[in-house]
Amino acid sequence: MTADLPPPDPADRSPAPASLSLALADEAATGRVAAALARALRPGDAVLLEGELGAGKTTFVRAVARALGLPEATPVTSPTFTLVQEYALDPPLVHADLYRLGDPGELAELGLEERLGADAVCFVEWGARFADALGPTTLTARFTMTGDTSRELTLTATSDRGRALLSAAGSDAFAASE
Amino acid sequence: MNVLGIESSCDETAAAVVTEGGEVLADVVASQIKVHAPYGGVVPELASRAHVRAIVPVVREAVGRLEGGLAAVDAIAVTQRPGLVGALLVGVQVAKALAFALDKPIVGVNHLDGHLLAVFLRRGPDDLAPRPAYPFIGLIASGGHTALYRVDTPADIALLGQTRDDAAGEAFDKVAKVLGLGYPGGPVIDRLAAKGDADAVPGGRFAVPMTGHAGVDFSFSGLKTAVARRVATDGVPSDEAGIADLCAAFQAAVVESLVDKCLRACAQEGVPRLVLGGGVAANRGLRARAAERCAGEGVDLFVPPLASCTDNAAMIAYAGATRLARGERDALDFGVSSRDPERRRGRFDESGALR
Repeated sequence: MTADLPPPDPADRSPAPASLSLALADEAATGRVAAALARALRPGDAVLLEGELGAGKTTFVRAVARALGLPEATPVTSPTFTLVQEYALDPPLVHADLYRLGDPGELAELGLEERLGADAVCFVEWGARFADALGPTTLTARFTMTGDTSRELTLTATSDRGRALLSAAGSDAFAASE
Repeated sequence: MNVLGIESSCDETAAAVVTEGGEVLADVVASQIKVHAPYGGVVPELASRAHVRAIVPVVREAVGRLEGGLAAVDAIAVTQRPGLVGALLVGVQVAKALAFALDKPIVGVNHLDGHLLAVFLRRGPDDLAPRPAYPFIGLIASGGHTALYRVDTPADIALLGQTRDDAAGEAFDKVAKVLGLGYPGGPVIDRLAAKGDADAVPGGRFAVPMTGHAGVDFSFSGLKTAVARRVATDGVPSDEAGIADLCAAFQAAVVESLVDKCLRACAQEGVPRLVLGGGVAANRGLRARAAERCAGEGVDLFVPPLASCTDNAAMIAYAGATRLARGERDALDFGVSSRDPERRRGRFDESGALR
């Protein structure tokens, strides 16, 4: 699944895109972008999900999980109360929600740092307050409600790996899904 | 037989002593919820560290209320799943240590079995409310769970349907956050909804989730988003009456969806007995509407008192007592799990299609 993503070319002096904004008309469009992102993700990638309540963060992770092969029969429920949910996919998908977390010291109890940057793909909701404690991430995905079903999604690279991912995926897969 | 129950699966550290017949002799709950959490919905002292601090005083308090103290404990039951692993481990390790030191039998208990069987707890000599016969349909609706079960015996429990996204209690908490009402959201929305008029909301009532869906699964994320959208468009109502109307409209949609699926499960299974459990079962709007619709459809409704609906250790002790009564014992090496075991049954599969 990492084959579509070209390695960064050191000779390429053109600045990689640091940010990509997509207008998503409805949940199906969100699903297509999630699927494109799922194809581009590698183990170790971590995506911070931002956006107000109801903006579509969990919906996006559900679509990523489906794209990675999670059967419809397995619900992808909100991790607000469970804090961290893991799905045994290839790569493993970790879905965390720090909404209820009070201080960064509590992160250690979630076992999240063992998974960030390791063999799993991690999606972290409400992670901005803990950005320092979370350490390096790949992308930030910010959702804005623009209508009842429409959303604007802004993907911002937070590392070189994130910029490579955006430049590879942004040109074809994401554009095609708009 | 006196069973000491220990519960630490989520935000509450609890210990209780219950007889095999369900008589509650002691019931102690230390809640970690800080009502005035600055960041709505946050539990400031999370999980394991707070459980570690609370567990020994809570167990000591529960056992202290038992005549004969620790020597009068005949067996130990502890929540083993589902929940936060770090939190579950605190209760399980204390339970194992006690079982080993006292040389008494120990059983691990599924937290959700506890909720489903909590209706059999008897709190004091005046508690003469009728109990359901088996089988019954059980709804668990709380901040972390929303699911419907068919309970044939304490050992034969089948999942009929569950939420596909947010739990009902979570939707209450998040809508309360959107409306600036604080945490937890259930009680305050329930109180305001009683004063409000769902039909007076500008923009009209909210669609009842999942009504057109054949199965008995739930979904509350779309409703939460609809409320958030309404507030984003129109703003938070400027007066309490407007907020009360919005709460009434939101709560009406949640309640109608819950009651509708409960009665659908009763009809599908041919089981005219419904038990409500979990913290959302404390909701007065839910209780009233369930009573009304159950009466109309000839279903007997059983709603335990609040102390039995919210997380507690008495229900764990009782569920453990039913395991012990079947002759079951666990070795001291049993583990914990974050998940409910797969036990889906019933006429509909997860997609809502007839099996």
